[in-house]
Amino acid sequence: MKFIHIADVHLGAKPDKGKPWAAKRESHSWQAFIDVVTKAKEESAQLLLIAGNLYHRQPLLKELKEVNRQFARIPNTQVVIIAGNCDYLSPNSCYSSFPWEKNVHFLKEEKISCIELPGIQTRVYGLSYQHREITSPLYRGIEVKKGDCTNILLAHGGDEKHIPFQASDFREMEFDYVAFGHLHKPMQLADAKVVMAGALQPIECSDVGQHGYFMGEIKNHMSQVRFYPIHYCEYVPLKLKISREIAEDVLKKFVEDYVRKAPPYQLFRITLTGTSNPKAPSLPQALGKISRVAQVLDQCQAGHDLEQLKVQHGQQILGRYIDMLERMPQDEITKKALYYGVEALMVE
Amino acid sequence: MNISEIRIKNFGKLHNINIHPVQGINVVYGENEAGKSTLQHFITGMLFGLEKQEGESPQRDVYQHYEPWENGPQYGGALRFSMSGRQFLLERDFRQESKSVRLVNEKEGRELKAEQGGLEKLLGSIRKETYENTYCIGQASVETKEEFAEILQDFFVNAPLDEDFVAAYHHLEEGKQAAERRYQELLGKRKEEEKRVLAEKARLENDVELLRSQQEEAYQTFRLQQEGAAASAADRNQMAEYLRDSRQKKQKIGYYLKMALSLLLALAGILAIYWNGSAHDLADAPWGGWLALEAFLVLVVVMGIFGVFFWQGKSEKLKALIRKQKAGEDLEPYRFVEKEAPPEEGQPGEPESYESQVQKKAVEGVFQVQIFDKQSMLMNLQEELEECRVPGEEEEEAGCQVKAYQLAQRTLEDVARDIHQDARQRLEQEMSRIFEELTHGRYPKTGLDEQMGLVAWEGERKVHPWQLSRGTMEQMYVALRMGAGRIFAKEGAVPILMDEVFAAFDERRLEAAMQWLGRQKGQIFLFTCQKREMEVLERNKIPYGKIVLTR
Repeated sequence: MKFIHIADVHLGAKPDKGKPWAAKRESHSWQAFIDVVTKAKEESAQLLLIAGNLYHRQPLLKELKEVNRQFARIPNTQVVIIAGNCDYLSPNSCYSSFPWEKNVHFLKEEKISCIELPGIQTRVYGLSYQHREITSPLYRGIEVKKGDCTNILLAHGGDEKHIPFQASDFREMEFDYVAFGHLHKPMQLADAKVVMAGALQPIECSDVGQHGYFMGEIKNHMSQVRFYPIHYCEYVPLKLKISREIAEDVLKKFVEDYVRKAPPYQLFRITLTGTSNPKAPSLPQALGKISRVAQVLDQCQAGHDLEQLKVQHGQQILGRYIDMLERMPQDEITKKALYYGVEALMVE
Repeated sequence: MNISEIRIKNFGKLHNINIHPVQGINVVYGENEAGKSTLQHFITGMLFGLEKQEGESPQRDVYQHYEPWENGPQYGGALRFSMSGRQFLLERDFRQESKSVRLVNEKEGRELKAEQGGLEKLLGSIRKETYENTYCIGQASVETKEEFAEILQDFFVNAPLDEDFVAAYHHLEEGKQAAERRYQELLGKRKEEEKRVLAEKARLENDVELLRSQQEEAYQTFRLQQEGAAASAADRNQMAEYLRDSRQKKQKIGYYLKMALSLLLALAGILAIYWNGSAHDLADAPWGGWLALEAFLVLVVVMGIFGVFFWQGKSEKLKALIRKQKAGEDLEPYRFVEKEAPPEEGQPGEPESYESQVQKKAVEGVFQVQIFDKQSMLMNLQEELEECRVPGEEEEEAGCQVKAYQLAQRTLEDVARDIHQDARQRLEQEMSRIFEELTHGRYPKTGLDEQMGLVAWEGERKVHPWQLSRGTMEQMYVALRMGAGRIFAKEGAVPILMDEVFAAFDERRLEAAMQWLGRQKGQIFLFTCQKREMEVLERNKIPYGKIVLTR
C-alpha cells in the first residue's frame, strides 16, 4: 500500500511579515500542498495522511472548499485528516461541519477513534484537537483491533503542551506506521515506523533546513519511507563569526556574494558571533537590508579575557567597570552591557 | 621633568642668561627687582606658551609685561630637560608675529610635533589654568583663583570629562542609538500590524452583529432580494462600501442640520413679523416700507417651512436607500453559498416554494454559516492579535541591546564618579596630611565644602581660611595646591614653582615646609628675596641648588 504522509501545511500562514517577499511566501504552503496532491495522483498513492495543522488557523469556508476541490482530484486516494493545535476544531466553526468529498475521512473526536478504509485493508487511528493545548499523553497504550489489516496511527504533538510522547511508547503497540505532525523538523523517530513529517514548507524563520513530505509503502506490516523535499522556500542558517578586524563593507560584500550564489529559493538567517566592532554598531541592520536575508541575530560576546583585564586595569576605569558589572545579578542584559562597555573602553 | 638648563634670550629684564638648575630643590635668590618673578613666568611661558591678551593693560598681561622694548631682539629662549630617561630641548619664540615652538628629542635628534599635542602629552596633559592653581604659585597669590573651584567642581562632581570616559561613552551612545533605531523600527511595524488587526476585528465584529440582526429578518430580506432590490455586485468591494456608508452618514447629518437651520429661519421670521407689527403704529407709519418689510418676512417664514419639509424628504429617501443597500449586502453571502450549500441545508427549488417555512429556515441556516465563518475569522484575528503582542526574536534582541547599552552607560558614569570620588578623598587626605604637618598637628583635618571652598577642623570647630591668620591661611592654600597637584599632574611631569610663598611662615612652620619639600620627588624652584629658606634647608641638611639673580 503506497502512501504519502504530510503534516503542518499551515495553509493561510503569512511568514516573513513585512519583508519584501512576504506576499510570495503566503502562497508557498498552498503551492506545496497542491504539489503533494498532484504527486499522489501521479504516483497513484492509495493513502494520504495529514497529521494535523493543515490550516494555520481556523479555516474559512472558501479555504475548506479549495482544499476539498483538491481532494476531489484524487478520488482513488483515501485521505485521512486530523485537526492539530493550530487548526483545532472549535464547536462553532465550518471546519467541524464541512461536507468533505467521499474519499476524505476526518477523525474529529478528541479521543482515539479509528476508521476502516475500504479497499486497502487499512485502519487509521487518531484524534483531533478540540483545544489549543492537550497536556495528557493520549497516545499511550492504544489497543489495536484484531484482524489482518494494516494499522496506522495518525498523530499530532510531541512537546509538553501538545500530547507528549516518546518514540519508545510505540514499541509495544501494534502499529505498522505512526504518522506524526507538530514539530516542524522532519525526522524519523524510530526508523521507518514512527515518523515526524515536519512542516511541508517552513513557517517561521527558525524552521531551518529542508522541508517536504514522506512517501512510502507498507507491505506485510513493514513500512519503508523516503523524504521528498519541496523547494518553494528554505531557510538557511548562516553563522558568521566576526571580529573587530573585519570591516563592515567586507562582511556585507561576503554575505551578498554568498546569497547571490545560493539557489533562489533559499532565505538566510544570520547569527553573528564573535566580537563586533563597536565603531560599527549598525552592522546587524546593514546585513538585514541585504536581499533574501530574513533575520539577523546579534549574539556577539566579549572577546577579551576579563580576568586579565581586571588585573591590568584594576583601579582604572576599565577594571572597575568590569568589577561593578560582575557584581550585578547576571542576566542577558548585564552580560551584554559588560561586553559593550569593555569594547567601548578598549577602542583605540 | 628635570630641567637642566634654562636659556633666556630676552624676557623682561632678563637677557642672555643661562641657568643650570639641579634635581630636587632650587632656591632662586635675588634682591627685589632682580627678576625672580620674571624667571618664574619664563618657565611657565616655556611650558605652556604665552599668548598676548588683547585689550588687557600691560600690567596685567604677562606677554606685554615681559615683551622686549625694541622690536629687534628675540623674545623667548629655551629649556633643556630630561624626562623618563630622554633628553629634550624646547625652544620658543613668544613674539606674536613670529611665534614658534620647537621640541627636539636630543638623543634621537628627532623633532616632536610640539603644537600637535607632543608637548602637552609630555607634560601629562595638565592644563595651564590647573597648573597655575596647583604647583605654580605666583608672587602674593597663594590663594587659588575662583576658576579653581570650578575646575574642582568639574572634576569631582559634574561629568568627569576624562578622555577615555568620553570616548567610551560616545561609542556606547552610538551603539545605543543604532539599537534604538532598530528596536523602534521593529516595534513600529508590530504596532502597525496590531492596529490593522484591531481595526479589522472591529469591522468583523460589526459584521457579525449585523448578520445576527439580519438573520432575524432573513426571510423578509430574502424576499426583498427576490424582488430585485439593490443587489450589489458579486465581488463587492468592502472598502468602497465602507466609504459609501461613511459618506451617507455624513449626508444624513447634513440633511438634519439643514432641516434645523430651515426651522430656525422660519421661527426667526415669525418673531420678526410680530416685532415689526407691534413696533410700528399702523396709522402713523409710512405705508410702503412697513408693508414691504412685513411681506418679505412672510416670504422668509414660508421659505423656512418649505426647507424643513424639503430636507426631511431628502433624509427619508436616503434612509430608504440605506435600508435597500443593507438588504442587498446581507444577501450577498447567501447567494455565494447557495449554489454549493450542503443538501441538508435545503436546496433551493422553484421560486414558488420560497413561501414555505422550510425555506425560511434554510435561508437562516445559510446566515448561520456566514456567522460561523466570520466568527472563525474573528478567532483567527484574536490569535493574530495575541501574536502581534508578543515581540519577535529580533525585536526582543534589539530591546535587550538598548537596555544593555543604557546599563553600560549608567555603569560607566557610576565608575567614573567613583573614581573621582576616590580622587577627592585622596586629595582631602593629602591636603590634611600636608596641612597637619605644616601646623604641627594643630589642624589634623582639611577638606572641601560643597562649593569646593577650603575648610579645616580644629578639633570640633570648623574653620574657614578667612578666619585664620595670613600665615596659616597661606599654609592651608599651599596644602590644597600641593594636594591637588598630586591628583591633576602626572608625578614629576611639571616642576613646582613657589614665588615668595613662605614670607608669612614662622620659623617652625617654614622648617616643616622645607622638610616636606625635601621629601618630594619632582623638581622644585623656590623664589625668594630672603636667606631664611636656605638657612633652614642647610640646618636640616636638605640638599638644594642655589641660583642667584642680580640686578
